[in-house]
Amino acid sequence: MAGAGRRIALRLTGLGLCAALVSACGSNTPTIPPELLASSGCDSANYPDGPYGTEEGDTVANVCFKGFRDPSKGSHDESALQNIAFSDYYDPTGSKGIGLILIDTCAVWCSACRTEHEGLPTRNNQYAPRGLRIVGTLFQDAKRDPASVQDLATWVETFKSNFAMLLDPDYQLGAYAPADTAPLNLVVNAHTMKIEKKLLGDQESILWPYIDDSLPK
Amino acid sequence: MIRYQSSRALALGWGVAVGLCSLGTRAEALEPEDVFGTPVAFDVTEASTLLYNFDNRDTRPNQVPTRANDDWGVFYNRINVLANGGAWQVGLRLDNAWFYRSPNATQIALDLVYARPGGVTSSTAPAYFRQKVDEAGVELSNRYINWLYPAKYYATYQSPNLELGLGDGYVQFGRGLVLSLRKLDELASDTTLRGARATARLRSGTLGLRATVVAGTLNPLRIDPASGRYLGVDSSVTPGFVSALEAGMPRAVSTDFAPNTGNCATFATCSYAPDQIFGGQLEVSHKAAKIAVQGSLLERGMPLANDIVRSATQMATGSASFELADLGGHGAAYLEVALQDLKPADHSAPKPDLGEALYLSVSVQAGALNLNFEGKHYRRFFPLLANVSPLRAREFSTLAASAPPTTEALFLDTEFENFNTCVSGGRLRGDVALSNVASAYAWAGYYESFAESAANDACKVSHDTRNRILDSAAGFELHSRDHHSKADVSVGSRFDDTDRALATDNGETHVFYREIYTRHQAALALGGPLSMELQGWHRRRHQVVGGPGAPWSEGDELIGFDYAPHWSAALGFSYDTNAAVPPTYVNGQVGYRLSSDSSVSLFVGQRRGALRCVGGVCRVFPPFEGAALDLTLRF
Repeated sequence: MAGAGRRIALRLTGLGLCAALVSACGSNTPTIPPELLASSGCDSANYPDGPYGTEEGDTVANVCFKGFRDPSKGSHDESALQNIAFSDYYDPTGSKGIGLILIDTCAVWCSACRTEHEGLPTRNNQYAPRGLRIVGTLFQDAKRDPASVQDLATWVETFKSNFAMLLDPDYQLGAYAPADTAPLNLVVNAHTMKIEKKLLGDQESILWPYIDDSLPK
Repeated sequence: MIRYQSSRALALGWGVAVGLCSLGTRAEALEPEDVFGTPVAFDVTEASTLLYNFDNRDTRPNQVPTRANDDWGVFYNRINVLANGGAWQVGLRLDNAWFYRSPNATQIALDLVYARPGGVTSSTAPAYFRQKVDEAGVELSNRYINWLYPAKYYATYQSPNLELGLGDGYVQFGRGLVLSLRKLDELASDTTLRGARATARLRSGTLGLRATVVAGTLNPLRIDPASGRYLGVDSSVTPGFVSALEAGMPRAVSTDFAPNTGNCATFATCSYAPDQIFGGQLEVSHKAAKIAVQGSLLERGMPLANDIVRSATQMATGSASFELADLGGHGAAYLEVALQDLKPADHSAPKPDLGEALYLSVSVQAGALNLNFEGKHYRRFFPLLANVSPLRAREFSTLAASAPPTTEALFLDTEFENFNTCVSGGRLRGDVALSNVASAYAWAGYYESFAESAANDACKVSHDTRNRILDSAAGFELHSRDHHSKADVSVGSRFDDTDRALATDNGETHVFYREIYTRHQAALALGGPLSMELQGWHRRRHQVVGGPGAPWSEGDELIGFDYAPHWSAALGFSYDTNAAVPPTYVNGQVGYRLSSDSSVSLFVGQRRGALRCVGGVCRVFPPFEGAALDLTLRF
């Protein structure tokens, strides 16, 4: 009796699997509304041409943000937000005195980001005279919702940021690394806008010796 | 390796299903067969999972990954065949994943456009849409891909004095400081060394000698059925004999979003480069005493990440251990001392100082009292993290070839960041039998970590990097005289403070982490064939730096009934007051055991996403909402 029950159970299971396998197939290709196909982006006449990429050796695409160019000066409310793009830091001839750009993503929930930002003002004081520009982008709050102007204000006041801190609620840098792997650190050559180093996490012992070696003494 | 399209997958799925339909007759055919005069017993285990994941409720605005893990389904099949011919064993595990439904990159981007919140934004809708299509395209390029591959294969010969193995095998030297490749069912992890191994034993009276050598490449399971992600290699990271060991394994595939660059470092779906591992152990034993030396050398071709461990091209780890398995009938002791040398890929980069580790375990029994102490002292001592790109396959980022002991409770998941790479401390646990049916236990652990609240690869010991952690718990166990019923209830706490003041949104603090919790597990015989099981873990947590910003509660409770010998059913409930995740989760499961080795079960409902750890080996499980039908047959 038990053997017969077992055989029936097995066959029913097999049939269930068969039915599920067949019924679950289907097409899921969506239609794109025409208005989303319009050409519009963060363009700058003075920026390297593509192709752009997200890996070391690739050229970073220009991205526009709103944020505080120097949060150590002025207020931190919405009226103080400035339009800032990566192209602002492009320095092909060296006329701006910029050698490297450190693009750093951060989020309020991210403990490694907070640890990293504790030390960034000191690093900025140390390396800005040698041609480093730090560009931080805050993308999420403590609940992993898009960061707000208030979050950015609290952040720059908490960590006494003295370098560009930008708001990235859209997480425009998502193509470089998923949010879960924050912080992302991109070391970009300001003369070419090519990514020289791409680091996930607070890799202090790798990042800063590299920057120190790369900048003129 | 076979990467196949839907029609072929469907045929394969049908094949498996039809095969299942006729198992009743085939099972009787698996009697020992005569092979060249040797009786060979065949053991076949078939494990299938048919799973569908609906919206798992982790969706966040503007976040591609939180939509890329909704509305997908997989038929995941594992067939294990073992031929046992006495001293010889030959085995094969064939894994097959067919994703019968998966998300679409364009649809993800459209959904994000429609759900895009207002507020300060910098990009136009078309620019946002294009950016999210690209991001989703890359995200899906190594997820939900159909594969059929030989997950494990091996041939072994075993005699009293000699063991030889070719193919996949598990290896652990000492307590895991040097090399630890194991199967952890709780984490669905099964990592082996694929290559060759030999162990020779000699015994003369009370003196014993054992020597083991191993060589091969690290072979983890390549498909993560919880996320649909797979690990892919390409020819740029499989030179020489590694290409033979990787034959048939999943490869990086090119897509519209991830062109084949011919270089794993820049090929967006190339997420794994197998490390070559060589190891050896020499062990001398005399009665209950054992002395051993063991070492491992991890050779890496092209690093796929830039952190200090994964960017090393060579990691040499060696240790000496001393074990007394019997302290005059009153306990045991174990001591292991290890050194580790990392060679960075970038020769201009500063070479890290030699890593050091000391691990000590002492257990003492005196009457009804049982004391166990475990201590550790690690300086720049890193787990041998596998050459996985955490950027392209973050679900596999904790994969490692070693597992330095944590000395903490097995379930502990609150060693943050690189806690265990630069730490000193220990834990003392005491168990006392109160009567024939009751016992009590308690432990206290104190640790000082210098790599938890600060990035500190160099392991700089200072007030600026120090966290002080006090972990304690107490509980009691009861069991019935016939041992058919038992219960275990405990409460515990963890206090984790920094020496330096931490900047938070609410001012400065020295508090890094706080937790109090209670755990319980009970199995009750209800009479006749009916029994009940109850287990739960309820936690009040506060992660000051990072995390949700405010204290939160979370917990899981599971009640199950078993009607022997065939039926079982369970109901689960979880909650989480962390505002970043849904507050409640409900699930149910019903199972039917066909025999002691064969069963079918159906899970329907929700599961909380969580970091799960077993003895310091951790894995992130994403939230799940859907149904899973599991079938295991052994014949």
